[in-house]
Amino acid sequence: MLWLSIHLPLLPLEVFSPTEAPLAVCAGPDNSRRVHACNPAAADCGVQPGQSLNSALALCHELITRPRDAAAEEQALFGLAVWAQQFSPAIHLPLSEGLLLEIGGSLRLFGGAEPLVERVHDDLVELGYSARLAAAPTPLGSWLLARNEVGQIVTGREALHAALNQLPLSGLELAAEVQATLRGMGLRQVGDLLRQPRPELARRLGQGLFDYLDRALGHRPDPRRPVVLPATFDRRLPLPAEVETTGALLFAVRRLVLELVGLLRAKGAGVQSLLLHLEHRGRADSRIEVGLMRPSRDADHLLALFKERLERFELSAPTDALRLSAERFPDLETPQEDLFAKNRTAPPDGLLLVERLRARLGGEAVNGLALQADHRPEQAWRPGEPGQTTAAHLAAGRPLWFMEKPLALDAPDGHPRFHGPLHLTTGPERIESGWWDGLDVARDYFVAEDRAGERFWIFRDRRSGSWFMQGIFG
Amino acid sequence: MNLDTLLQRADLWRAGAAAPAAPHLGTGSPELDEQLGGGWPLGALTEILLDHQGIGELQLLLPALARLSRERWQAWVEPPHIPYAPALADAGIDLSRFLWVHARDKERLWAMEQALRSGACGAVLGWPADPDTRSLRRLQLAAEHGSACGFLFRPRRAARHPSPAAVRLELEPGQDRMVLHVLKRRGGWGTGRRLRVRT
Repeated sequence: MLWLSIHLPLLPLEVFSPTEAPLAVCAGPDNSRRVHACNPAAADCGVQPGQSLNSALALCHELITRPRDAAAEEQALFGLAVWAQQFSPAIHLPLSEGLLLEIGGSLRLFGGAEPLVERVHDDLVELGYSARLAAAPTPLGSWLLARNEVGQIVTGREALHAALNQLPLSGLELAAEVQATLRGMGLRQVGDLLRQPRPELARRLGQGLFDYLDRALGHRPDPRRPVVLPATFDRRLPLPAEVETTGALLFAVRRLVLELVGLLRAKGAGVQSLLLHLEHRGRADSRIEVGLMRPSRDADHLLALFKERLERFELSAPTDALRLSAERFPDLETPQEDLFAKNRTAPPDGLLLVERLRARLGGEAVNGLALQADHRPEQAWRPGEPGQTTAAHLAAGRPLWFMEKPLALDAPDGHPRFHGPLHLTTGPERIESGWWDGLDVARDYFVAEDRAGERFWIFRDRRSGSWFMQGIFG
Repeated sequence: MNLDTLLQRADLWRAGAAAPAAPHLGTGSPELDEQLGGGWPLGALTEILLDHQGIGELQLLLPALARLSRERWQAWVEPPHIPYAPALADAGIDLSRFLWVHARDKERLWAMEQALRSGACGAVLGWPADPDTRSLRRLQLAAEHGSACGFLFRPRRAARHPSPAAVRLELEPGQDRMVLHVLKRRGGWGTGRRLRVRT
């Protein structure tokens, strides 16, 4: 077994979508609020964790402050657990600020522990999290190494013991009075503690301390129950400040889409319809639905579709949170990406272009052309779904430009005119058809040319004798 | 071996012809290929300037469009009339890789740019209202990026304004023929000759 721990020390800050503006998350009772964490923009103004909120605001007038949001932290961890399924079938949530993945079974797929850990790290950065990672044969051991910034991959028991021995006792998750007692005894590192006579210390500090260390070292079993993850995707992301322009929402959408893609990789599937809710305070959500022509899990493509939709979307009210959901995960029709190829060069696909154009212009605006087996010129074609093949017997001599509604022509003394006299060069081609559906035609078609040399496709209705233009030989 | 087949050879270079360095899409007419310095330039814009419809202006592109449709897509962005499927199919165009795009005003240029840039389209045809030089340059870059042929249909008066297009052709109707005049081509000015093409 090999356990990968992901510790997210800045989670209270990073639950909010990243922002360029100075942001601080505060905690503590209402009358003495303190800065719990702040982003680099705030730190540049001199804001620091531990500061009172008032001094922070005095240093930085534009500081956005949000109270620590335990529910959002839980949701963020849950979102990461969903995302992390691509790396491990068993995800565990330790008690605070992190994730635990059993990766022993995934090593072969990712080419070893090092590439896997590197990949997890890079993806977390892309998601907007600062993470500390460590891997070790016991869950608690890896967690303690990660929490104490011992960024290591430790595969053997002995190496784990050596690494844990060097951890400061202050880095263990112990009650404050236990910590104080240990300090009073002059003990600094885990190794110092383990060299003491056990029964005596256990009597003073409780057996729990040694059980805890034994679990970390692998002397005691440490059964863990993986978190049960839902079959669908539904994730909410609070925004650090209300957003009034859709462009600023893209940042946040990115994180949600990347998490979804993690789930899709785990499932070996894609997504074909997505729903994005924009939450407005005190008003009904706005909904943006994105449909794809075929399932995809290409994060860049999905983001590009949302970008087009968001740029065209008029926000009815400021937005303070986003929610992305997807319910069905159909199989991919074509292999879209290699797990490891970050800069893949997929062959350009016309249907991706169709989705992109439709995202901005609307579904109706982009069509293919289809043939229909019918002698009537207006029935011989129809707009079709792009990418589909149709076949029909073809008649030669048809014009490239077609008029849906034939244009009536003047025909004094039976000679058709269009901005001047027309000269009939070819024809007639008789088309008589359609008695079965009431749209029957009885026409004689001609190619006609005007004085400028423009050529048209015109017909004489054999019942009324009137002339019409139906095409142009472009 | 006759002269025509000899002139088709890629390794044969003739003084007075543009250097055949950049990739081209053959027009299907050796005469026109020669005038254009190889064919329709891939990864560039071609402007087709005309004041009349129905003189065979699309006919001119059909052999190239039919050939490229075996592998790549083509997009017609806001054409002035319905592109007639039976005529396109009869010319050998594979309709399963054909896109008919409706777009208004500024969206036309946007849609053309997307299609050119995508790499999926071998040819993009557009009838932009009155594109400024900056928009044309964007289209040119997009065509380069997607190595596509961008065909812009514009009125003849556009010839008075400079354009980043690699090729500019003027089309006029004539007796039984269409008269084609190369105003500009890649790597040089037009040959000054007028070419008569039977339609």
